[in-house]
Order: sequence, then structure tokens, then C-alpha cells
Amino acid sequence: MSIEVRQSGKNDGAVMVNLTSGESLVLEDGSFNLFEVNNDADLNYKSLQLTSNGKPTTLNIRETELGGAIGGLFRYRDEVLETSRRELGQIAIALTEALNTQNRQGMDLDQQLGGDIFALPNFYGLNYPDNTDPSSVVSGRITKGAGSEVSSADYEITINNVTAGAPPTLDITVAALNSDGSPVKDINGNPISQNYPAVDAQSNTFTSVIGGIELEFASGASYTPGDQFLLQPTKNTADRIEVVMTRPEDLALASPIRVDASLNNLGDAVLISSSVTNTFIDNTFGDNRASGFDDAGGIQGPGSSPTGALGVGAPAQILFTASDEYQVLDSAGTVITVVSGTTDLSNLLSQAESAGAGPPWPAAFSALDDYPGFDLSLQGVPKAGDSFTIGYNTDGLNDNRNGLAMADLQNQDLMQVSNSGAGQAISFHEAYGNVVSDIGQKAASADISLQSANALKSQSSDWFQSVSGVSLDEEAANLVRYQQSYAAAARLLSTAQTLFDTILAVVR
Amino acid sequence: MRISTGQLYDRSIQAVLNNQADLSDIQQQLASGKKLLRPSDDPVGAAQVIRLTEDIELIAQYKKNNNLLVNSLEQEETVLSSVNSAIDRARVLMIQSGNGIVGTEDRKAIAIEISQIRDQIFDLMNSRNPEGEYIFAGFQSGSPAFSYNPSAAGDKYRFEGDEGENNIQVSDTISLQVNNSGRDVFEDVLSRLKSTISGSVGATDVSLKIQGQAAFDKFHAANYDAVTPANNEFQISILSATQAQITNVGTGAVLDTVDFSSGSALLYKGLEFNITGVPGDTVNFQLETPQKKNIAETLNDFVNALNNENIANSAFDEALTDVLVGVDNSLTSIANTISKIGGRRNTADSVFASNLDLEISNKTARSNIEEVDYAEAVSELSRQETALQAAQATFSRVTGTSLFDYI
Repeated sequence: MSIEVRQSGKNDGAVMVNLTSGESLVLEDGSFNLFEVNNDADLNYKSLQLTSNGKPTTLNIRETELGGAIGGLFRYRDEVLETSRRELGQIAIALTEALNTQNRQGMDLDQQLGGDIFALPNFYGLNYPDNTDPSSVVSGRITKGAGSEVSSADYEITINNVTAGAPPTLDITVAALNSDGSPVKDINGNPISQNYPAVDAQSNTFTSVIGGIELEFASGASYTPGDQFLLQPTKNTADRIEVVMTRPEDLALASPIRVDASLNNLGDAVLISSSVTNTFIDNTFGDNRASGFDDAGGIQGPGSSPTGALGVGAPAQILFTASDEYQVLDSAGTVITVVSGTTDLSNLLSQAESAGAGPPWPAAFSALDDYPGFDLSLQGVPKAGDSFTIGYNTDGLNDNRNGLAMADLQNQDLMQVSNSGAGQAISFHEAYGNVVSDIGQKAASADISLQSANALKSQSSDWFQSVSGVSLDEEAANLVRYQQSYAAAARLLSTAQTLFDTILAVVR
Repeated sequence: MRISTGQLYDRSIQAVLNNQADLSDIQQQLASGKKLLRPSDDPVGAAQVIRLTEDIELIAQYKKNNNLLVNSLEQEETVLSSVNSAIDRARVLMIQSGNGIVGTEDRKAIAIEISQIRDQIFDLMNSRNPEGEYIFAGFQSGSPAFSYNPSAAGDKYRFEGDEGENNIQVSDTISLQVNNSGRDVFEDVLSRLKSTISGSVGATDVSLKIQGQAAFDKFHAANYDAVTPANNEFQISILSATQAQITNVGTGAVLDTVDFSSGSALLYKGLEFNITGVPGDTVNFQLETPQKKNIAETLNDFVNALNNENIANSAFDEALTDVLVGVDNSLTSIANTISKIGGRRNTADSVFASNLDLEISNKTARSNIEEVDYAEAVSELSRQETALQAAQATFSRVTGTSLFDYI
């Protein structure tokens, strides 16, 4: 660090020792010591304070302005290391979450719906030193499928109010922080934060908040208003991601549904694409994410769908009753809904959801987030009587549709650019390239600073040397000059001697 | 400026050290072949290199995919060509069997050969690729595409696969279909469309045969109703000794009024009726449900007809017409598939060529950013070397002079 030593202004011969940023290290009545303390929730994130021996005072120091080796290390930590490791963690989360999501939408070699390839670590809220009960716990995890919403920001959770009850509820505020603790600003320059009233506080209840994360308040009623927690979803994630898939057979490269045209079709409509967006299995429909797949390797039939015991099943057949009218049937052949007057044959099931009539699309289907979780698009002109069957892709071992979708993740923009979570998304490689070029830029500008500092230093030392340095030649010349004047002076003496001798000889 | 003796040494040694650092950098560049030794040398360039490398690696994978695709397409094309020539041979035999002088024994001999061809085609329909997967079975490539069950009611050669079509990515935006499902190639083939007399009132000696298949096919396609069977029944009502009217029984629509002469042929849309009747008589005919049969099944039907010793001539003619139409439809379907494969191969070839071009341009772009220009670097090296030598040589000369030597 750079320390300044100056003469005291009082002209009493005293010397002042202080940091270049102004803080005195030595005072007349005592000395200030410099040592390391933790003033942050994150115990690994040290900061420096000045503490007086004589008077009990502490002074926070802006580490980045400290200068010298320590200042450089702090700047490296704050400007390069902390941001880069968060960005790396963000890439790791977005990439693994995207692969997990895509794998879950496929069917593996054992003909089961795919599972997760990677396990993402949970992260825990760090208690601020001022919290009433330092054993309070807040934990978080990445919302499934929300990898593309994750930013590199940290989050500060503030408990605003605690309401007793079963379960107790909390009013919380979640604010996004930069790695140095300053608030993240949105495009209008306002700090990003969001209030969440009446959040259930109990174990295994997760509440989605900003940035694609979910929070769990496991300590129930023991929080105190004013408690704050620091959540760092991306800081240590990059090296904590684990592969949980151990069998290669579990890679879900096939799509779980298959659409077959009836052999008796007379029209020229052909399937151009079938898509799967949701394979979440919950046959009790307690979870809104439930899809039309059952847990026995099939599509829900009548009685097992959200419409209840006597209701229709999930869509399993499209039957055209005219070239512009089709029925959606379940696996037992019961009409779910009828769509009339359509010429666009893309996404037939979502058309049925929005335009189906007589009977309309079941309300129990629409109540779920994404039901049945698959869709199909046709092309061409169907004839009355043409039908298309949607079924589970049993024995579909040669299918690579989900594999193609997985490979295509590379070309998709699935990453947030900035930690404000807004703006254009970018691809994984672009994000990695940005991290590298970011570090490169900082190193390059540090290089330039170093060079200019060196130039300044050599210029100053040149002037210094030029003025106060010793030149041997100059000294030699002086030596000769002084020697000669010495000789001249000596000669003067001997001449005077001779003169005196002559005069004395005259008078003798 | 006044130069002190310390300064003299400082400056000389600084010059030597600077030259050495530069020389070492150049040496590193030459040894590694890269001028971007660390991202800070060119931060923007470093990010570009990462993206270009990604693109180059993607293209390498696309080239592998392309080879895989072309191999599969070639195999499928070979199989389909074999099927094609086998069917051609069968067709010659069929026409031969229709010759009136071919007797029962000769028909049996022809039946033996056609059944051989049938088995050969069935085998080709269950072709496997080098991984042992059935190429026409769609997604269910682990089990045979077609099965044969001699005791089955109805079709004995059945398609067991699905319509699954695999795509393979050959460029960022283009993915091409690798396989064709046997359902599209072999199974989804119409057999001959037919019509039959379904009833008559008053008229006698009613007969119907299809005299112009093409005209009838059009009529069938335009009028067949898969949803309401009643709409497929038509009625000829004799209006007078010279005229008859044709109506759709289901809808009641009058289609046409045609010339009529009792006891001689009445031609309507490729159908030839022969009706003996008086005004007021009616004859009903219906359009038969279109049937789809694969080539093996079509050939098998004809083999049965050839082996049937008691078959009537008219029934044999009917069977022969059926099989010829069925075979022709199969040939059309196979020809269509072969041209689809050809189209895909052409696309694959041109994508491959453009991938090669892209690869070269990407590599050029990357080497412009990242790689060292040897001529430039070597001349820079010798320049730095000269400078260093000069700095070292002048060191002793500059520092070696002292006025003290002359005192």
C-alpha cells in the first residue's frame, strides 16, 4: 500500500505518516493499527478497517484506493475475481439447467421419461452480523427450467414483517446486489428489488422470486423483522455442479410422443412437427406443473386425467370431420372438443384450447400451467375422416428428436447478459467469450497503467538523478581543476619565498 | 541534460532489459505460432477466437453428420433400386400370365417365380443397417418393419413400425431426413379403386366393369365420402328409352344425365354398365372403400390367384388388373421415395461444399486474429536481436569511458 510521509505543518519537526487516501496511521497521541476484519455476511469476503489503540474508533477503508500491492490484490478480487467467478457460475447453472430441462422432455433408452443429468447445488442465506438469531436459516435453489433467468447477481433478503400462524408468513424484500455489495440497477437506473408479502415460512415450501431462484424459510416463526440474509447463487456454483446420471441409457434422446397418421387417410395432410414442452408427472394434480403423461409410460386415459373419474382423458387423437374442422379425442374415442373453421393446421392442441367449442376445452386442463404438455402441427389439406393418433413413443429407440433439440441448445440464446436480468439473451459460448474478453480487457488496461506508471517513474528518477546524481567525469574535472589551483597556489607560495629570499639577501 | 554516472548505468541496463523482454515475447510467439499469447494482448480478438473455434468445431461435426447421412441414404437407395428391379421382373411375369395360351401348369410355374420375388421383396422391406436396425421400421427400429403371418385374416404382410422419421443436422439451419418409414414407401399405397352393383329394381342382366381406370379414379377421389357411407351409393334411373339419370342416393344430388340404350353399354366416368331395362327401372352402385396394400401383399394375392385351379377367367382377369394397378402404384411410391432421397443427397452435397467454404473462411479469420505471421515475426526477431546486441555492445563503451583514465 502507498504511505505518505510529510513534515508537520506546525514546523515543530514532527513527521506525519498517513495513507495516500488520507487516513493517518500515526497521530500525536497514539498510533492507528491496520488489521483485517469481517464486516460482511460472507465470512470469506474480508475487508480492511483501521482501529485506534488510543481511542476506540474504527474507520472503514476503501480497499481499492489503497494503492500498492495490497490495494492491487483487493482491486483484483473486487473487479476481476468476484465478478468472473459469478459469471462462470451463471454459465454453469444456465447450461446444466438447460440440459436438464431438455433431458426431462425426452424419453430414454429404458422408455422412461428422462431425468436430470446434473445436480445443481442448493445455496444458503448468509446471516448478517446484526441479525437477532444467527442460527436462522434461509436456503435457496434454482427454479427448475428457469436457468435462462439466472443472473450473476447476489441477493439480499430482508424480513420486513413476521405474522404468526400455521404456517407463519413473512413479508420479505429481495434486492439484487453486485459482487461488491452495491445495488444492481435496472435500465432506468433504479435499484432492482421486489417485495413479496405473506410468504409461507416452513420447510419444503419454496417461493419463486426474481432471478430464477426459489427460497425456503425453514426457521418458521423465529425470524425477526429487520433480519437480513445474503444469498450468493452463482459465487461457488461452478465447481459444485455434479453429474447425477450414471447410466448412459438415461440420456433421453427420443421424444416421448409419436404421431401416427391412420392408414385410411385419403387427404394429403402430413405431420411436420410434434413438440413436447412438459413431462412433469403428478397424477394427483396437486401441482400445477402436471402434464398429460402418466407414470406408467403412457398418456392419461379417461378417468386418470385432471377432469376426474368420469371425465375425458388427455388428447390422444385428432379426427378431421371436414378439411377445416377437427375433433380432439381421448384414448377411448370420446370427443374432448371440436375446432371449426380453421385453415392453419399448426399447433392443433393449443388451437383447441383457445378455440374449441361444443364441448369447450376442459377447464380442468386450462387450470394447469401446461397441459397436456405436447402439441402437433400438420401441413397439407386433410379430408373428412382423416385421423392422427398421438401416443407414447413405445419402442421408439431410433428416435433422435430430443437429441437434436439438446444439440440445438448450443445455438440458442439461453443466458442473461447482465446481472440486471434484462435485455437480449446470449448463447453459452458468447457468455464464455465475454468473460474471457472482460478479463483480457482489465488485464490490458492494467498493463497500460503499469507502462504509464513506469514511464512516469523513469522520467522522475531521470530528473532526480540528473539533478542530484554524481557524475564521475564532473568530479574528475573538478578534481583536476582544484589540483591545478592548488598547484597554482603552491607556485605562488614558492614565488613569494623566492622574493623574500632575494630581499633578505639584499639587506644581509 | 546533465547525466549522472548512476543514470548512465541505469539507462543502459534498462535498455538491455527492455530489449530482452521484447525478444522473449517474439520468441514465444514464434515458438507457439500464436500472437495472442494471453487475452490481454487483444481482448476483443480473444472473444472472437472463442466463437470462431466453436463454429469450426461445429462444422467438423456437421461434416461427420453429413457422411453418416450420405451413407444411410445410399443404403436406402440401393435397397429401393433392388425392390424396383424385382418388381419389374414380377410385372413381366404377370403380363405373361395374362396370355390366353398359358395353361394351369404354366401359371403354377409363374406363381413359383413370383412367390420367390415376393419373398425377396419382403426381405428387402426388412432391410437392416450396419447397426442391425431395421431401416424402414421408423422409430421402432429394434423390431422388423414388416411381419408375415400366414394364418392372419385379411392382410398377411403387415407393417409393424411407425411413421418416425429421423433428422440429422448438417448445418446450423438445415437438418435432413435420414430414413423413410416403410409406411410411406410400401404400406401407404392404394390398391385398385373399385365399384360394385349394390342393387337394382326392375332391370335385368345388370353388369359393371371398370373400363377406364384413370377416369374412374378421378370420380372416386372426387365423390368418395369416408364419413357418411350412404353418400357413396349412386343410382342410375332409366328416364326413357334413350336417357338415364345418375343421382347420389345419400345427398339426392343429380350428377348427370347420360345416353342409354337397353342391353348395350352405358359409359359413365370410366364405368361400363350393361343394363337391360325399361323407363322407371333403377340400378344402384356403390364406391368401394379404398384399400391400401403393400407390395408383398399385392404379389401374394396374385400368387393365390395363379395357384387357384378353379378360378374363372373373368375372376383371373380381375386379379390380374388388381395386381397390375397395385404394382404400378407401388412403383410410383418407390420412385417418389428414390427421388426424395436424391433430392436430399443433392442438398447434403451442396451443404457439405458450403460447410467446407465456411470452415476455410472461419479458419482464415481465426488465424488472422490469433496466429503469427512468420515473415513479420522473424524479421521482428532479428530487429530486436540487433537492438539487444547494440545495447549490450554500447554498454561497456558508454560506461567504460572515464576522465580518471586520463588524469
